[in-house]
Amino acid sequence: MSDSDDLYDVTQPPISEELAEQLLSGSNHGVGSTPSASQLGALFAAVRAPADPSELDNMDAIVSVFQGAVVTTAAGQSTARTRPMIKKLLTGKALATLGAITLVSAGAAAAATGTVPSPFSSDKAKEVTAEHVPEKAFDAVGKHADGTDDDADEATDTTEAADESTEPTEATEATEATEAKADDETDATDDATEGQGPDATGPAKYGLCTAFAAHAEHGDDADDADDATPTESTEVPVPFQNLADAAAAAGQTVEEFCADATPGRSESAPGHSEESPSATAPGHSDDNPSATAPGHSEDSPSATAPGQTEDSTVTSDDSTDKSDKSDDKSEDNPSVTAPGHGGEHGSGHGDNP
Amino acid sequence: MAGRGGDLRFVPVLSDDVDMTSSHRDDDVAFSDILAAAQAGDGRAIEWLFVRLQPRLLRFLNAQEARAADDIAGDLWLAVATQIAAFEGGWSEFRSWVFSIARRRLADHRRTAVRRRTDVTEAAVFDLRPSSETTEELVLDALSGQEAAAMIASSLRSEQAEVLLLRLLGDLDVDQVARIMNHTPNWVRVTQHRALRNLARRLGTKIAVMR
Repeated sequence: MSDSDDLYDVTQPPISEELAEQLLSGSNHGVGSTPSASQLGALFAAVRAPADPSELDNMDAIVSVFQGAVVTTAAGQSTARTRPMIKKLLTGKALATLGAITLVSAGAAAAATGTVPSPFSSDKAKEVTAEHVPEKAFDAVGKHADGTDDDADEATDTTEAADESTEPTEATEATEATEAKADDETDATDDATEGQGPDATGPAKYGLCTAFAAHAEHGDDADDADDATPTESTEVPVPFQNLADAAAAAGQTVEEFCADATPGRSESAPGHSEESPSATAPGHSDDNPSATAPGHSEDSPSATAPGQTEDSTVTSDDSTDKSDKSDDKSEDNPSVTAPGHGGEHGSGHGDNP
Repeated sequence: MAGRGGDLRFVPVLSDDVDMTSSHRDDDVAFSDILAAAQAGDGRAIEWLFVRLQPRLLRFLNAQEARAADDIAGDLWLAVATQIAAFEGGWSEFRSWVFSIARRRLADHRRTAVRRRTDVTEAAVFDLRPSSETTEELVLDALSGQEAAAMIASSLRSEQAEVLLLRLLGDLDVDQVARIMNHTPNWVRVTQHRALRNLARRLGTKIAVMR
């Protein structure tokens, strides 16, 4: 448009870059240097004129909308920040759960190393976890973690015990703990009447006899051990009760009844494993406080179950002699079968010959 | 975050004596408090920003799109409100940011309003445009802000007018305008020089006629 005015460049001095900057930046320097600069300066001053009231008519409305948008945006940002946090927490819980499952499996596997069949160990792991849930009232993750820790401790403890004693003894501990905890969750009184033990007239005869003899030899030590677990002092192991009953049925004493026992029979028949998860466990669990401590959990309220679990861990340390005794017996009777729980029947050592 | 009580540092700055174009360091320090308060939704801080920017924005928008200036300005402030929490910078940077939003909103409006070619031009637009017939009556000092901006827009090509308006209304330097218009600073210098020469030529002619 104005480019068509060819005379302007001839009649007017050019606008220097410095002058242009002065005009555009609002500086008064040089504005009056030329008529053109004065005109531009006046026009630019009008462009920068203070606000006309009409230009601020809707200020209240826009400020209100602005405030609302800012608050909304702030809330949205906090939500956006919260989401990753929740995601992290969820992720953490998921990881903790996965870790707990892994540890439970690892603990069960460790407990079952070479002795306890995997189905039993799995049951044990689940029951240990389930047992501790109501006790400590942790959250979902806490339950698994707690159960895992305890189970891992038990697994470690039992693994250590397995190094010191024979594997059957270790299996007894594990299976007794499993069965005892399962009983805690159901009804302890039912278990008291359901304890059966091995058939003394069957394949377990030799093992029972051997264990009975060993028990009789170490009766004093067993009494000492019972001092550590007073609840056992008046209890008679079901296997021995069965053995005594079988001998009485035959019209013989236990020694006479065991005179013809041969190991070949017991080796050929592992016992009634289908009756109890601990069917393959050695039968002298009552003689071994460290092994029977979990087994007697049905005698106590379920609230004491965790303590008993700890006891099983502790007693393995503070009753080394007990483990030693069990070692002796388990070594002597590698194939003795017995129920997992010690049972409340009988009168403890009264059946000892 | 600046508080909302009466001891806000920006309270003295809210006085009318403060020049919007001031970009001294002290003003930037005070602006940081204003910005923080505005980011928290403080009404007074938002008013402070609105009073200093809205007239300039309306002139910038009116000069280029008179019919939709108010609507675009409303959308612009909403965009500022939703994004101000993430803004960091001084008063000069804030002006540059707001005018860059205004420019984008204006471009969006132009793209989506193709039918405006058939729109009937409002009488107000003609009123703001100085014509050759009214040159004799032109008194630059008497022009309102919107009239002066509209005169620049009507006297120059769009890019030249936009460069001058951004520099004048936004109080932006060459580099800032270059970033907003996605050009090099040198392009801005060349364009603004041509714009000034053309505008002076047109004004000179008109004023010469007046004299």
